[in-house]
Amino acid sequence: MAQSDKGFELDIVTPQKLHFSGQVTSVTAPGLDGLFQVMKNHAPLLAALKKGPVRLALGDKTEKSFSIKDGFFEVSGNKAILLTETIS
Amino acid sequence: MPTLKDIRVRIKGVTSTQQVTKAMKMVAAAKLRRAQERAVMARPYAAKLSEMLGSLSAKVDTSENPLLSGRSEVRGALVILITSDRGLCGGFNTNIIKVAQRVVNNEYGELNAAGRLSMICAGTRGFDFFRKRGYTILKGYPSVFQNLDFSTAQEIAETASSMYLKGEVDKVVVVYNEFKSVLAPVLKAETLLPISSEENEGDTGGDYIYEPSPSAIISELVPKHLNTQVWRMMLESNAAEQAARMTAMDSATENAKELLRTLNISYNRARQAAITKELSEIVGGADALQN
Repeated sequence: MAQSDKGFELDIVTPQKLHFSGQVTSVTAPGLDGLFQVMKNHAPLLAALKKGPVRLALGDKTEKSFSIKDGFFEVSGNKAILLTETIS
Repeated sequence: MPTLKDIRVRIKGVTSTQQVTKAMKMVAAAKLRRAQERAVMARPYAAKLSEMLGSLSAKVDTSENPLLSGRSEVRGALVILITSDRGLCGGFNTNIIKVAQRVVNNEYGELNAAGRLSMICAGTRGFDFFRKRGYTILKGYPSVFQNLDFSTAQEIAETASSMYLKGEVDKVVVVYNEFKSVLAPVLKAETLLPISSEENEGDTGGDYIYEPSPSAIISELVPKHLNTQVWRMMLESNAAEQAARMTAMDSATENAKELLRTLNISYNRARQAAITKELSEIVGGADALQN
């Protein structure tokens, strides 16, 4: 595989701008029914999110976390998109 | 025939006006660039959201969500008008206000007469116009573009959808200028609610896992979709406003240039006439002395 072997692409998009874009190894997000985690080769998923923390594990063992108020998360074919109106 | 001094004063006046219009044009150009950037930034979010909505509404029975299914009878309407805050932008506000008047007085004239029509005005110009003429303005947002923020769009969208859900209105129309090109904005009267489910075509996303369920996601998705729609329209209008101002100020500068040219010609002509007159007086005087 040409891409790095553990990660997948993630974009975090808000109405104002592209908040984050890059390779991650895992994403933890607050789904309506509770926290869930997505890793590479996840089956296609579309989830609604509620208020809570979003944690990204980056390839180089570092973590990044944001908090969102609401939003949507879609993953399909190792490409993930997180849509949210408010992020900090 | 104006005197030399009159012409000189006018030339001075026109020159300073030209400087002002030139400066305003430059400022508008800079603001236009920024407004366009914001509109471009908002695009990926809006595009993804409506893609999700499109593929989901194919999976869900849309009639169970009131915001997606229309009502047969329109007994109340809400008109959202987006204008600019400031003038000096050519026909930008006049044109869009005309469209809004047509919508209010013709399309929904009966509702208006029956007091079943309300308005939300974003932007000082439209707000003042309709307030002075005694229309029912539910909410006005004067000077929103001074400090354009997503929360205003959220607020407007929420007001609209809650009125729709309560049954106070059966249709929400947004009247705004769409930014197509720098030369001329496109006047639009778009239906915000009910949401027309037009994009039910082709790729419905295949075997997605939905968390918690398609209908739950869609009821989350619809308000967000409305917010971004309103936000998009506001950004479009803002960009169109700056573009309109830029073209208006550009043609004003051109007009001033043309005016200066003709003024200069008449100034020189008057100056020459005065010199000729003086010369002939001197010559005439000298002739009289010699004889």
